[in-house]
Amino acid sequence: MSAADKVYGELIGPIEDRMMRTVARIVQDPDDAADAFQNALAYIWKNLKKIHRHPNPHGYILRVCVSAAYDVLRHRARLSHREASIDMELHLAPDSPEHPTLARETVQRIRNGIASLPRKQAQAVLLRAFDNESFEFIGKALGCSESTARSHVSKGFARLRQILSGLDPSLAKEIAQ
Amino acid sequence: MTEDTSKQEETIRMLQAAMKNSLGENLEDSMRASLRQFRENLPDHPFVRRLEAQEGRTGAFSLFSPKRLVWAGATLCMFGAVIAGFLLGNSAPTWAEVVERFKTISFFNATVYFKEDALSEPTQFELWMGRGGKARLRYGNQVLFAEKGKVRKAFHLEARSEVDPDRMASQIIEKLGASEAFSLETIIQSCAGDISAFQPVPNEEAALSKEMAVFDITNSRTPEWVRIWTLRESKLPMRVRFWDPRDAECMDVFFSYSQQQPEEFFDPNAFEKKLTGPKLSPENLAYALLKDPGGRPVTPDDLFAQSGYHVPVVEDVGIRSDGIVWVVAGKSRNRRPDGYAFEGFAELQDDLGREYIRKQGPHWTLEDRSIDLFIPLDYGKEPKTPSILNFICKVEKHARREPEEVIGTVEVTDWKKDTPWPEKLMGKDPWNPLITLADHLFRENNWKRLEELLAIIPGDPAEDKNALIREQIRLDALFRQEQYDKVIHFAEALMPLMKERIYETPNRSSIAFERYLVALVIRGRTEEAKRYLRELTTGLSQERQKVFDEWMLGFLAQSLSSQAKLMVEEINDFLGVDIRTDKRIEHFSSPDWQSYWRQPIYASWMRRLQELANHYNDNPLPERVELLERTKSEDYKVCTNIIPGIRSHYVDAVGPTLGDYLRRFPCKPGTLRIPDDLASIPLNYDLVYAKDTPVREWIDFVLNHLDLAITETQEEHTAWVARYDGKPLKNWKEVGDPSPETSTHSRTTMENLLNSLAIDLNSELSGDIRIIIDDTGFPSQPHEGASWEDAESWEKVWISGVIPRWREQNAFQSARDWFEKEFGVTFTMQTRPVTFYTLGNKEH
Repeated sequence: MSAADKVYGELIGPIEDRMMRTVARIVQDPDDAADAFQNALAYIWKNLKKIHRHPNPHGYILRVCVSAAYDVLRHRARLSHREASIDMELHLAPDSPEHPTLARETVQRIRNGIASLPRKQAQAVLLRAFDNESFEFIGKALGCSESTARSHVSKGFARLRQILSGLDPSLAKEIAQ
Repeated sequence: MTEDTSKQEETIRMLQAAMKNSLGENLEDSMRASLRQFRENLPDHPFVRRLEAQEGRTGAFSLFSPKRLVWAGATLCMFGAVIAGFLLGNSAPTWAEVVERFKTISFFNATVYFKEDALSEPTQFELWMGRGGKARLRYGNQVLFAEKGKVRKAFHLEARSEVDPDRMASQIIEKLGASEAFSLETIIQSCAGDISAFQPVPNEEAALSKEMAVFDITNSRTPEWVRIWTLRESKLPMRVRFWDPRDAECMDVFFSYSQQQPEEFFDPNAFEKKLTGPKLSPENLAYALLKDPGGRPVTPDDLFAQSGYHVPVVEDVGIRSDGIVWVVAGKSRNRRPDGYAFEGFAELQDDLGREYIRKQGPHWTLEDRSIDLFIPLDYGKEPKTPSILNFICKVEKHARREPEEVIGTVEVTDWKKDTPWPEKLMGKDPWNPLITLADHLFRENNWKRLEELLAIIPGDPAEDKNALIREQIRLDALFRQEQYDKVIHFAEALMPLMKERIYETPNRSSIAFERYLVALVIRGRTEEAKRYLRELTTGLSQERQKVFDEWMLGFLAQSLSSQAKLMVEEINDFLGVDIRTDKRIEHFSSPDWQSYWRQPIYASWMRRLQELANHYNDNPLPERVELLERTKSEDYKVCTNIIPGIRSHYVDAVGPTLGDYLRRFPCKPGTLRIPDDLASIPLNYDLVYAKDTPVREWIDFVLNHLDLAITETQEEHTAWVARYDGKPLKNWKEVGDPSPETSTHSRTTMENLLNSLAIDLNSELSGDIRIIIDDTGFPSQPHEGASWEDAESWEKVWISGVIPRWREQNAFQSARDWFEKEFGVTFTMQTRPVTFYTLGNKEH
């Protein structure tokens, strides 16, 4: 087996599905997701040696994917903020859950919430929320201690709760349907 | 589930719902195409190409083996080629000559530093290689011994034991050990690939000195290069540098050559003897048995072997008008074999038999000069003038059990009278030594003398730091004497002066504030104390917060437990932390929580205790005892009998077998008879009992549950009777330890020592029971129902600070010798009536 095959087989192969899903779940929009995925792969290419030596290379790669997706969210959040300030009609009142566009609006608020978190908190929250990764795994992926990872997750969720405090939790079910 | 966890889960659900898995077909295709492209380009990636080059030559390619170590091996091995090349002058040597010349080197030492990239910290390791493929490597805190590329033994310098070799260190050894077995070509190929890429090329630009020749080696496929500095005449390489321009990853190897080290230097067994022999510091162990070619000291041990101890030279002596003696000493510093240094004189004796305490002054390293003050314990009383002063130099002890060692004494009969100490050496604060004396009197609980002394120290606490310390010592003394109302009164008066200093550094103001808070809690003013603490910890600067976190928090938690008798839950509430999990509190010891209980081995028992606590939230506690079957069968390592939040009842683990459980049966060791079939009955219960129920009641309750009972019979039986011959007893702290490796160090009574002996003797016997009867007459407790808190009374009962184990061959004879030597206790065999306890089925 060639070194290239070994590198791919060790680093990327076992998690390629997770990489794709992670980016797609966060970004949602197919075009943006494909771009974010390309960006993640470009970063991995550039830092292959570092990743190869990393104590948790899979965690690191997933973090890179989360980070690339997060960049898209942030970019989109800035855009939507600008657009919303131009067109106030887009802003819907939170007390009309039956309105079909509300789900989209709510999803957008959640994504904006994620985008407003500091990068490491966002990465920690998403790794925890999607794959229920252990704090040890997250810590190694983020290059910090387990307790710091715990703190990132906890602070991230607390901040998200604060951001989403106006949101009716029962909507989660509705959005999921 | 806590409120936080539940909220977190709720947020996770929302996130998961909002960000559904929406990997549509088109998106998946697009992403897979990106992955394909990535994979196709991978063979051209510089890093992969480098890996490929290495793999192609060695067949030992491993994705997760650090490349740097491959190069470390490469560079170290490669010097052989370089040596050969240069030994034969500037004409190109043949490979056969290179290999042949390489074999002529008898010994070398290489110190290697390597860095992952420009910003990382360098790692260092040291290697010694001798004839016969013998190698010794110091890597981190390990020392490894190897022969022909195989690690024979590895030792941990701090754990002082044999360990599995560090993976990276093993790799280095394997690479280097191969230098005898492989040809040079093989070595270089194994290290770096294509052999044509490793031909050294002279680099005259880099060699400005005529004595030095510099050569570069480049690799045809990757940009790394190696540079070798070598001595032109001796042809020996002195330094090798590896460099990767892509990320400034680098490695430097420095060589030194000398005669072969003695055989024992490479002998792991000789090293092991050092490791298990008299305790040596890690510095001594790391370089143990290494002989410096110039005879220079390498370790503190060598240093001590050269210098030994010496008595400092008295340069100047004087006595102040108030009786404080000062002495300036030259050649002041002594160094112990373990490397610790100490200065000056430890003790002063005079012809009047007065006692002094020492206040050590500074030491000036360059001049090796120090100053010591000796303050008479009767300071302030009628001054007496000695005519002889004897300054005693002693080895500074670092452990209570170390023997006293006097280096020497200097007698002085002439000194400067009524003369202050030299200001330039000690400053001019005249009252400062009295603080040292006050602290000494405080430690001795000599309250009357302490107050007499404090009364001498003048000044207003608001203006004079010595006066503030004086008041803080007073406050501390009142606290020690449990005069908590006065502590509160004093502290409130001092608070305006102390407030700003509390978190400045760990200082007396911090301690005084802690005493104040604890006194408030003891007086039932907990809320007030809590509020005050919150007030003074809000908005602290980062530095002050650090003082609170690293120093004060742990001490305060401990005092709230040991002084104010708060339970852990109450302390948590007071401090607003959870001391069971808060990593800032590393050392905490209370009846209901100890820091070491955090260890994973206790986790199952901790969970069980919490289960019991939850159970009793919904159910009443038993009046006397209650047996609760466990819901799980786990390996429980019991560390406490306290159920969280419950003060009136305790828990006793019942299991894993009846035989194990009955070890707590209150009887003389050897008198309980348990049939084997009953001893092996498995048990998985916990017994919850009210505070005042005796052990026998718990056991009878458990046996009753199993339909079993214990019957008592009196029999005439031979027994070893221990008697005391009246020999004067030494202080319990000075009792010798017959087996330091296995003994337990704890204060104990004669009864305990004899019981421990009987348990050890009977554990090794089958059928032959040895009963020991205590006729020594030593008390087991100060008086009936004595409290553990009455330390003074217990002090009179303690007979030893060590509990030996008696498990070796001829243990009883060794024990008899020890008891006789240390306590004057002898054993004679007699037939005595002995009560035996037999377990059997209950008679209905």
